[in-house]
Amino acid sequence: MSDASPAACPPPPRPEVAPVTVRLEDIDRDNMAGAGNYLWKHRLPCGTDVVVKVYYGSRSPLLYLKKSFGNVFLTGRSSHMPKRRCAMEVDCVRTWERHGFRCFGLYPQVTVEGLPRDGYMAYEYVPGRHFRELFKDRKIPLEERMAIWRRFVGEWHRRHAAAVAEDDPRLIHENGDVKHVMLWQGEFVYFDFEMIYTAGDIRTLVGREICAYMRSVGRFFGDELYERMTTELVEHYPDPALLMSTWTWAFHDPRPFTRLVRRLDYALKPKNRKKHSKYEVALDIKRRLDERSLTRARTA
Amino acid sequence: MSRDTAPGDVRLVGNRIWLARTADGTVIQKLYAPHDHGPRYWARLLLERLGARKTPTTVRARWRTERELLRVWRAAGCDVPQDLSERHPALVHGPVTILERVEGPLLGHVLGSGRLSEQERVDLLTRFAAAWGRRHRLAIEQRDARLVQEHGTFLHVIMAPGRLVTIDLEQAYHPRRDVRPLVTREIVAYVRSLAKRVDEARLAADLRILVAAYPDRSLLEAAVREYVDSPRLVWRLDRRLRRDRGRALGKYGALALLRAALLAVAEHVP
Repeated sequence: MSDASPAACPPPPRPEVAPVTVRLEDIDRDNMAGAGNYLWKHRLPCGTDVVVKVYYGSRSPLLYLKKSFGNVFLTGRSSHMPKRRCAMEVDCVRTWERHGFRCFGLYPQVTVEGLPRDGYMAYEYVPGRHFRELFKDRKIPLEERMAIWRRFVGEWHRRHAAAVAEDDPRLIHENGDVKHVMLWQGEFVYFDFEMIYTAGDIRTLVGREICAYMRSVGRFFGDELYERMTTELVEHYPDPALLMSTWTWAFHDPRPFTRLVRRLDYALKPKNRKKHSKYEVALDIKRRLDERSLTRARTA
Repeated sequence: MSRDTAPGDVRLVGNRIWLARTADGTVIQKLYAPHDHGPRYWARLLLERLGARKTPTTVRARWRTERELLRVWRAAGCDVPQDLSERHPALVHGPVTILERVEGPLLGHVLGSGRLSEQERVDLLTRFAAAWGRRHRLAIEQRDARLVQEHGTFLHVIMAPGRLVTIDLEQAYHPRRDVRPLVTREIVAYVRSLAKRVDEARLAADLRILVAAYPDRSLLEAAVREYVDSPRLVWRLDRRLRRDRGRALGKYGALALLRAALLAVAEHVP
């Protein structure tokens, strides 16, 4: 493992698509996603499958406004409004790919008649396996799954190091969890970048992202896999101090007001003291890091 | 050393030191954290501000001081871990220092273990005393209080093959005209740390070795004079009030043995 700053890599190859215009009525509108957006799979005349993501979902405009207000004024995130999410996602995909992380490829040359241009985007269709299913699949030997996890941990840190080095919150997976990573052709493919954090120390945001991922590990895979995957994480994440930022995010945010709010959030909400809450995950990672600290070994 | 928090404790008390793998090999990643929390922490900061004799114990101050002292000590030819922070910038974020990994036991543990032969002990303490005395001489000559170890103890020396590496330089004394009193204070701290790890007979023997090898006996005599024989009220009170008064291995008992060692060496008694 290297601590060297990650070098920018060219985006990975993907099918070439000539500029094409698709009529809305020609698209089979079976939604592949939840209420926030519409995701429609469509085969282009050249035979390439794409996914048209329409950011104007089925939610009411009032809800978009309410969520945007909360994001911008309370939680320090980018707006929830459809056009903003579309622009942000495109920006994030380009940023991630510039750093060598594979995302769903963009096909801006694919246009859809009848939709506002800045409210949708055609993406490469990637039939990979979501982490959520992959790690639960008992047909794959545990050691093989852990080897994939270790490989992911290395790449995960590379992205975090790039985010810290460039102080770029676009490299933080705001909605990061095991539902938003898949394995395809041996590569990790990341998606869902509609929002980013616009406020906060970048290291703390790294800590938050790690907590969110590990919380989803606990929730979806159960105690046994959580234990093993957290052990592997602490053992193989190349930068223990950055991993300790999970604790910083949960209990020692540099902003005193945010710190106080998180303390209250932890103390007052029983769900935040459950085993796989983000706070408990942060404490668990801290405990494991403490055990690996040489100060403790020497004291003992 | 860290004062570890209990499992489930949301506080982070005491530094954390981890091994980090890099392309150049394994290094030490040191994360600085507060020594205390709550009223004790603030009381300590207030006292520091009032006293203003040393650099503060805040996380940022300790981080800055250690990096500065590593550079100063290294420039003075003292054996301290190499600061590799500039070589590994990706691992440095926040109050973190990247240090050379020095493998070996702590000298305090080695001396207290009783596993050394008599000759090994003589060689080791002689080597230590020579480097120790050299640094003290430089501190006095250059009037540089940074060359005096603020937290001196044999537990802050790593015994690596062919090396005695001093660690934990997070605090330093502020500049002053005469650094001799600081040097004597460091000497007392080391003697006291040795007294905590060995029995009285062993301590007496070890102190004779140290005295014989230490280049400037006047400094050792000054340490005894300052603390044991001083008529100053503060030390008289301290001698009277300290719980370890009268015990051979307490601070004053150990210094009494140091005085005996000085006399013995001066009279060439083996």
